[in-house]
Amino acid sequence: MMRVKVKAYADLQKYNPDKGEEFTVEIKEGASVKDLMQLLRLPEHRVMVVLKNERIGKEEDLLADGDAISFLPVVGGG
Amino acid sequence: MAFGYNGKLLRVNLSTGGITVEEPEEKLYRRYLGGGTLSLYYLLRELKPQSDPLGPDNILIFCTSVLNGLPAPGLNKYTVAAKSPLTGGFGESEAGGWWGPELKSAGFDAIIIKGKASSPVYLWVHDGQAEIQDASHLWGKMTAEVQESIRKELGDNRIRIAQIGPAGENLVRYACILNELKHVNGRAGLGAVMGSKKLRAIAVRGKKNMEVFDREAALEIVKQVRESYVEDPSGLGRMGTARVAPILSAGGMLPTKNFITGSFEKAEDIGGKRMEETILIGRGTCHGCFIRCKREVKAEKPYEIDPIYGGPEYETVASIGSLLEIGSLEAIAKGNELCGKYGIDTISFGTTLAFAMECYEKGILTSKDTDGLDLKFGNHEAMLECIERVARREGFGDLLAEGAEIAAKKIGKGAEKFALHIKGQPLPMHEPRGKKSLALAYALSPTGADHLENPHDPFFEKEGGLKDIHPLGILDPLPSLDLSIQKVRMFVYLQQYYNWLNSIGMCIFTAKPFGPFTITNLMNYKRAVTGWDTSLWEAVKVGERFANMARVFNLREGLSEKDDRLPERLHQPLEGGVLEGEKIDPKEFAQAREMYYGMMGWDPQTGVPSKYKLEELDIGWIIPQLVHTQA
Repeated sequence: MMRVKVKAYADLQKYNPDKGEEFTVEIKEGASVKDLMQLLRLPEHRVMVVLKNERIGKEEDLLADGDAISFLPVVGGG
Repeated sequence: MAFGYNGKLLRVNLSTGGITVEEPEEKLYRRYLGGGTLSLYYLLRELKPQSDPLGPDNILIFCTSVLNGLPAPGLNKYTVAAKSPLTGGFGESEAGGWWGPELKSAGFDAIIIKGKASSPVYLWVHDGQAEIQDASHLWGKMTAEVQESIRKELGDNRIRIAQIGPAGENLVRYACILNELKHVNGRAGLGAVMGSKKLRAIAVRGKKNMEVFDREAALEIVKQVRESYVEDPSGLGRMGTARVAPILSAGGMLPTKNFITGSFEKAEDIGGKRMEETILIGRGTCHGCFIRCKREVKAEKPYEIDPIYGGPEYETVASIGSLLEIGSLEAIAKGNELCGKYGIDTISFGTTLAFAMECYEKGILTSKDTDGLDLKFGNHEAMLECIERVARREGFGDLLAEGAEIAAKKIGKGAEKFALHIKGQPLPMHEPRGKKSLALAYALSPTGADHLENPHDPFFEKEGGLKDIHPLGILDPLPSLDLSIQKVRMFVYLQQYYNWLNSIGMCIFTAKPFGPFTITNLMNYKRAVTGWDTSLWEAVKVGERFANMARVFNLREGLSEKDDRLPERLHQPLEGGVLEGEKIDPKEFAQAREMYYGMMGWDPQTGVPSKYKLEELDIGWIIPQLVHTQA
């Protein structure tokens, strides 16, 4: 298993209400960002940007132990 | 029998004091619905071309819609429209709250104002009648004071008041109109138009309910909408629009330092979550809406902030926050309060000040020019000081009060490249280099740079996000950074959808993709209320009608395809943030723009609507106003 740090901004927190904004997750070796999103029940159309270690990431990217993943929700301003 | 609306428009001539009531036929309402579309009908027919926007010939219209004021979430927006002193073209801006619904309850769907009063006045509209009242005792006062005074002298605390502040009186080019002190018709300099007519306020009060054709069906739809809404604990209602500041910054698209970069290190300090943890004391709303996205804030130190003006929206925490590298939420909230007191658009003020700060940084402006103000990025004291000077047109404030475009021309010395505006309207706080449909939206909006032409690209990157707009026939997702032909088509469809929403006075936060009111439900609600056997087809035609009328208006006022362009900075790469290097490629933009013109039925080079398109939209009556026509 690997451990990754997750930050779920604002509107995405509701999918894991027990977890808050920043938390650590255990996930199987060789998992991708997409696997992580499924584990966290994040609907893909609600995620605007994925950051992997502070750079833009993609769903296909493979995770490594200790990675920091941020999920930014689709938002509009006003 | 009119269902949903009054069938009455109020006409006021401030030069003569004349007040009349017009009763247009039902077909006019069905064809134009309200908002900017119905406003353009009158502007095109009755406003002399080339009129001075700040002269007595300009026509100022407050326009609700056939559905405004009905007890359904979101149907509370009204449009104010006129020829804009910022762009010289069509100007419009929407505001919410309760003023629009109250005007309908007072018996009128719209107010058309001509001429200029010889001394300050306000309009009192109530129960089917209207009077012009003396406002010389109100002139020069702050907006809260004026609201209280009018309510007191008319003897009713429930009166809703739309007004300008001292900035509008002083013809600050981006002065706004606000109602209830916190719902703002911010853009296009409409406050200056109102001030030029010496009209300080419009007070409305009424008790009339609109007739509804099929009350049961209407209620059933509202029930469905209500039941489908689940409040998100970190969403729009709880955290406000400002919650998106840190999100956009992390995503590399928070306008920062005059659009030089897309990421602000203090973004978390100015966002909605921080507001909730510090100065937030309540959540406000508009007529009929349970989302409650408005903020109420209060503070004592370091600034005393009066809650009566509401708290800052996202646009404001960016425009007088990240855009100026100001990371103090209290200073931003104070700035928001001052802009509310004086009646100034926070967006235009911020973008104009960012321009001045960059000029100062580059030595084009010195402290000699700025009345000794140290106009460095980040100096929030200077920002607050500037609001008051702009409102009073004092010293350096007089130059800033003209807006970035004119100020840059007056300063010269290469200042123009830092003035970020389109057609004179300063840029709002969304980054086209991260959401590329905004390159089209900003350049092609008839009112100049406008962030509310269409729902933004991130909604439609995945299949799941398209569900909300399936009724429009948009079936293929596209990346936010795409500006292909497919994106242009997506923009065309979404822009007409939003044009329809504006025409019926629907808040974008309650409609899809933001809120719970589906397109199909909204269409069925319109059918139930009006009794018209109408459809989405007809609705989109109204949207197109708006786009074409606005285009012809602008063309006759002297705007052209040369004005449908982006400031040079947006063609330069973003510096810093995760989208570093992204830019709008000029060739790609030119191709997208040509594709847009063609798809709209306009000449692909000049953007002039073809007379065939105008006839198809049943607005052939405006063809004589086209200077050029295309076969």
